[in-house]
Amino acid sequence: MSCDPFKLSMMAKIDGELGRDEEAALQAHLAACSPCREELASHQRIKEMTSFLRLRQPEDRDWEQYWSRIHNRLERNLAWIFVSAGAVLLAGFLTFWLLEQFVLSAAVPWALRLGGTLLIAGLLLLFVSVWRERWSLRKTDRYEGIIR
Amino acid sequence: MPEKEIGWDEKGCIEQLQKGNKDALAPLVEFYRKRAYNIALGFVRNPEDALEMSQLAFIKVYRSIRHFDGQRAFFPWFYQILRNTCFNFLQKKKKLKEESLEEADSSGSESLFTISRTPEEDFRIGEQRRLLAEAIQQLKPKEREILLMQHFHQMSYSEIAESLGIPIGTVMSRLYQARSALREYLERHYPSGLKHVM
Ligand SMILES: [Zn+2]
Repeated sequence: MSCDPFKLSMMAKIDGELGRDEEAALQAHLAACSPCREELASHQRIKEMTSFLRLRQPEDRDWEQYWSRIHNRLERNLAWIFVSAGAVLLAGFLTFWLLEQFVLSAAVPWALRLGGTLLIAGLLLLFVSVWRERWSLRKTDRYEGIIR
Repeated sequence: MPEKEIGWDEKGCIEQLQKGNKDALAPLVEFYRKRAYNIALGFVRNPEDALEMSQLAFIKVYRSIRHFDGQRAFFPWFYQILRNTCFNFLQKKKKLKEESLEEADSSGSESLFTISRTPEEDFRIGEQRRLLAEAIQQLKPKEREILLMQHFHQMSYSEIAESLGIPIGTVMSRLYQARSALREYLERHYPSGLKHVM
């Protein structure tokens, strides 16, 4: 009988994930196959050995600051939302003001009115462009690098 | 913050988070932060970046918790977020390095492990552990990842399968490849045989 199907059962055996039926089949095979017995034993030894290794840990201080660093970042994000909302409001008001004072006022020389119009158009374009870039970045950030 | 291992209610926390209660993130962080750090360390290989990436993953959890299906297990979903966060970081780091024409920095080969032995243990044991650590570090990324998941992050086969989006059969065959590669490496570097090493 081929040993291949039992290689996977060996893994499940080592990790305590083997079902009862598979366990019986594996034991029957092991009883008759000494290379598989040896292979299982060596895998088991390696797993035991790795249990003595410790992953590098940060300083205790880093754990103490762990939550506050997350919390601060979340708060700062909220602050940024307020700042951008405020900026949008101000920009809107400024646009309105420019329109009223210059562009729509017949008393103002045409050059100033043209300047005001161009300024408003330029700011609007900039705003849309920055907003679109941020939006697409957000999207790619969410989906990029899903490698399986 | 007190340890909340006992009586902590993961589902309740997630529901609260989904309702926009920011405070519900704290117990979730408390419960998963060590695992999150360890997982990130496996990818980025140095403690500072691992802390940073794991914290960033929790922030992403907070931002995208609305998209989480409460019927599913949280941890595999979190694992995917954390893994993607680390991959994005490594990609950006690689790009930066290429742009600045910097010499290959050593962070990619930094040790994942602290090697220690108690005074009672034979000096050879330290050497064996160092060799095993080296063997794990030279595994192919996919093999190393699955080995770390099973041996060091205490994840079950079904958690691993869900986190990586692969069937359980593939989990087992990948683990088999990883462990066989480890065995081969140890045998090659300890010609006197594995029994001697362990
Ligand atoms: Zn066999």
